[in-house]
Amino acid sequence: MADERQDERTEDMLGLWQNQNTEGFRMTPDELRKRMEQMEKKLRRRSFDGYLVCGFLVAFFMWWMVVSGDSMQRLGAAMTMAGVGYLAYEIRRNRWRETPPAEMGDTASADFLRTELARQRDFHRGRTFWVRILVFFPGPMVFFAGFARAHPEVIEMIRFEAITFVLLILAAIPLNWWMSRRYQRQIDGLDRLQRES
Amino acid sequence: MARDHLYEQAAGELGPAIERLARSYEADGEKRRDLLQEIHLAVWRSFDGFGGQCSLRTWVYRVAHNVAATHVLRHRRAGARPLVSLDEIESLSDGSDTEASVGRQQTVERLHAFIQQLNPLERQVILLYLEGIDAASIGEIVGISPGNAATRVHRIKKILAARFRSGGRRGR
Repeated sequence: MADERQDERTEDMLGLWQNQNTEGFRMTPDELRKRMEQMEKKLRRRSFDGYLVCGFLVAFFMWWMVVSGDSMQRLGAAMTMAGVGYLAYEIRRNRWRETPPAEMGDTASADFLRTELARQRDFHRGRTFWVRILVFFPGPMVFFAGFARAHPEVIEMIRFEAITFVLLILAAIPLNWWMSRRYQRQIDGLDRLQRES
Repeated sequence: MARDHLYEQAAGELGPAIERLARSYEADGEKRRDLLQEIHLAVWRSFDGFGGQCSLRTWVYRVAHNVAATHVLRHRRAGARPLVSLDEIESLSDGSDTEASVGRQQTVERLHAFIQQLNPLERQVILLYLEGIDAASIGEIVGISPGNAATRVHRIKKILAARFRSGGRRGR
């Protein structure tokens, strides 16, 4: 009896759900093509903005390489430029890489979601994370040391900048660990859900 | 063009379901419009790789849910309340949900709000159930066993019956 009542109620819910007002939204082939062009333009724009920031940083350190008479500062500038280049490459490669829509249709949602979550998790932990830190950290430190050697009159300011930089890098470690744990918890939940029967 | 033809067919048959899906994944009207367009675009583009390996319905639902799940992953703020599972929802008491005096529209609104709290996969199961998809097909779309899907559907029925007591009947 209770089961019958429950079935009746959920049948009502189904009816209510399926009969709710919709706009009858659909797109014409022209609209779809236009939207695809807009999306590609947006992606190109986003890449361009990223390259612009990297280009600015590279230009800034390139300038220091040219004007600085201190070899350590020049070495630091070169290392930082390499770090910026690597960072840009990593972000572009790993973050929100688009899955082709045809692949989405071929992949069950649980598998798709797991892959997406694992990609996010791996961005924040493991070898790729530490390589990113190791590639990016030494350059500015060598640059600061060289700057302090070449300009001892502003050593206090450089010390402040160097300490701030170190603190930011140190803060990135627990933050990324926390992010990766968060993604891992979602993956664990997904695995549990798939195992249950 | 085959892609355009398949899209027309899919939009005709499943367009309303996709709209309801978008509404359950995104509460903000403007973002929902974007999500809806993104889903339609992905469905249209996906047909380049569609060779009848599954039914059109399964294919479209997979694409739509995968796009929507990606949307949730991208746009959820770091400090946002964590999404919950059916287990957690069952253990939460919410007196307001069991009130018997709500109208159709309010019930639908609350149903969307309820679904938006769920993690993407459970959200998907409940949405497919509400669309009248059987447990075996839900399993195929979501990627869980038919038994698992049937168990989840059973629990969803229980939760819906308990939390949305009479909105449907009263509205009829």
